[in-house]
Amino acid sequence: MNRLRLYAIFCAVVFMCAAVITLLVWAEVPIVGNPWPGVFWFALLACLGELLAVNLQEGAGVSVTPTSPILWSATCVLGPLPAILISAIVGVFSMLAKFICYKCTRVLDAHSSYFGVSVYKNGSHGLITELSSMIQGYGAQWQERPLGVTIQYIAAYVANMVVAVGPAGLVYHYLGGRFLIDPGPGFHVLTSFVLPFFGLVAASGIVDLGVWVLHALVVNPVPGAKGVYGLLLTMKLALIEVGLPIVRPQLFMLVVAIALSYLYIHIHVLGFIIAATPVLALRDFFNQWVAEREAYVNTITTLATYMQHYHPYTRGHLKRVADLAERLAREMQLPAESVRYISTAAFLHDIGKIGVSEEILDKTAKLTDEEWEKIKEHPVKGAEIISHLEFLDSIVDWIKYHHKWHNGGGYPATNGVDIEIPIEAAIIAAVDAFDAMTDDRELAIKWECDSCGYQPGDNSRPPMCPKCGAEKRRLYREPKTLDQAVDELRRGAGSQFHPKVIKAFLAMLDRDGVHFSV
Amino acid sequence: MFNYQITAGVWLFIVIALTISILSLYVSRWYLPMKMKGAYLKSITALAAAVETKDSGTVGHAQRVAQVTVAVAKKLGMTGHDLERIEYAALLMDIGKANVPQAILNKKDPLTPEELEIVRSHSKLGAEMVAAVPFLADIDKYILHHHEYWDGTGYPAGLKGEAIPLASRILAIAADYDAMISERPYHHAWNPADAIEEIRENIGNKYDAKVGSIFLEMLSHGS
Repeated sequence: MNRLRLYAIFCAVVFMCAAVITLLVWAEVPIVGNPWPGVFWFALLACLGELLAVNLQEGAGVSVTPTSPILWSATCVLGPLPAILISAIVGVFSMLAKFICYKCTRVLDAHSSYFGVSVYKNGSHGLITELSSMIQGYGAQWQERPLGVTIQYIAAYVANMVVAVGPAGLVYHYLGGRFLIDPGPGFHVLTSFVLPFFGLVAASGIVDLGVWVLHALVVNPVPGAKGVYGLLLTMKLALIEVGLPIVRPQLFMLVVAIALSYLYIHIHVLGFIIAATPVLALRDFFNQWVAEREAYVNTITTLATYMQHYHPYTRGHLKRVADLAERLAREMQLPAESVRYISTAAFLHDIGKIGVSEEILDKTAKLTDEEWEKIKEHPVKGAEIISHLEFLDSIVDWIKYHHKWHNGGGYPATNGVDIEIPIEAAIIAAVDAFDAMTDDRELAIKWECDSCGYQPGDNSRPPMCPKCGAEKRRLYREPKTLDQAVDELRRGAGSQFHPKVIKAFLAMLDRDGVHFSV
Repeated sequence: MFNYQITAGVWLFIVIALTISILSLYVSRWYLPMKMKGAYLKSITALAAAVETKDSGTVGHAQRVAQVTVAVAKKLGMTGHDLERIEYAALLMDIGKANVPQAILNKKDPLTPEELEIVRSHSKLGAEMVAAVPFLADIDKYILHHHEYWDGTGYPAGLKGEAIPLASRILAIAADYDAMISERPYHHAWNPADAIEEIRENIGNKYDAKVGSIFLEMLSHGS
């Protein structure tokens, strides 16, 4: 079935669910007291909170907002129907804000010379930079879509928020929860508030996860996996990759929601300020942490990459290997941490060569055994260097085994011990070999026999010197065409290369070609 | 319509909120930067050490020079951020040697003029590498000029006197002393007393008098 049509059906289903739930809540749960001033204040708070989204995962579009604790709190203070109204207001506001920020970013981009590029993009301090980066970040969540799809998207988003609130409110009501603005006689904190509230949070979590899994099934099913197996695989990945990161902060949100409810009942809107302070502080901490980490990894990776820059062609090679490795890791659905760090590892995979003399590295004649031993030391040396850096610990092994063959050949020698080669090392190995085969950097070096000084005079690149018979290194020969390189990879699958990696790699090359985003 | 009741529970929440906020601010503004600084130092030391394995005889050179440099800079009244920068510069001053062929670095015989040129290019190469990293871009001057001498006989620019950044003047004296007292392919390790004498003789021509006197004073105290 067509992806767009499937998405339309998904939107319609969510929207219908939202409508049914709203009607059900209307019929089942009476409105108590006068919730309308509360609706205003909670909606205002939730709209402000929506602007403070924290990105959990780079690129995955998963963000945590303080919206859910506010909505939970609104449910148990004001009742489910007011809470549904608030969620709809917040949903519309969020969409509108994203759209406006997106437009603002476009305008700022177009007139960046007028606003001053230094203030707008490069500055690291000041309110204006802070503000503009917020606008950019928020605007980046909006995608240019056809009008029809945009309407579906907005409807689904708003309906999604309603769906997350409605059933939870019903659960709260059926478990005997009272609405705190007018709890009525016989109110008992434990049975009329705390226990039903846990039910509410659990219900909200389950509904959230359900919608996420459904969304993943419709929007990004695992490529290549079909039928029931594909469905199950997609569900599993959606739960692990996206579901768990969403559920984990819920414990914290639970505390925030209880604080909000209690404080609103006792000191009205002032309570929001008290509850918001620690949330803002924690958000600042989280942002700071992500930024520091990012700066650290970038600094050390760049520095280390420059250190291997012994050859004018090395940098291009490293960039291509990093790019292909990251794409392949994504293609193979490796864990998010692996995807994030594999390009770092690819940039640094040959750093151990810094201890190998240039005479050996640049030698064009076949290497002696002794020289080979020197070259073979580089993965272990590189792993040693990497082990002192504060990256992901497992990167050390990715680098140590990037010349280890799938069948146990290659190096470093493991003295007969059967080691498990990390799949990331196998990816780097395959991509590195592929780029070395197709790279035409060798063509820029003039072919000249370093034993007798013979020059062929034409552009031929013989594997053996026609004059003195000295054998040349494989690297010094003519680069292969794409087809030849692919053949070589296929031949090596199972012996030199990991068969799964080659399968995914060839599928990816077949589908996307060898473009580089450098 | 609405009564404000400041109950014990409200106070409890206020105390909890303040505690979380202060803790979180403490972690993000003080503990985290300190931890990251440790990570940077450790990683930069490791990368410098990796380059040193190429240049036999210099293992530990950068780290020793960094220690001395920081001590001298402290005596000269540098604090905080400046001190941190000078430590990074000391660790990274020879990183440009990553792009100098090993055969030249470890040559026992006197270098030819071309080879000397290549070895001397390491300050420029190092400065370029560091300038490419935003986090370290501000120390490229220190690295570029760490082989300049007070009287203008150094390289690459032949700067004189105060025109050389203070950090580079400290680096020059600390690096020279450490090179003298360690074993190199082209010379045997000097006796520390002779090295001190050599430095003393060159204060005022090769080395800045102020930096030099503090350096010697520190050595005589045995630190």
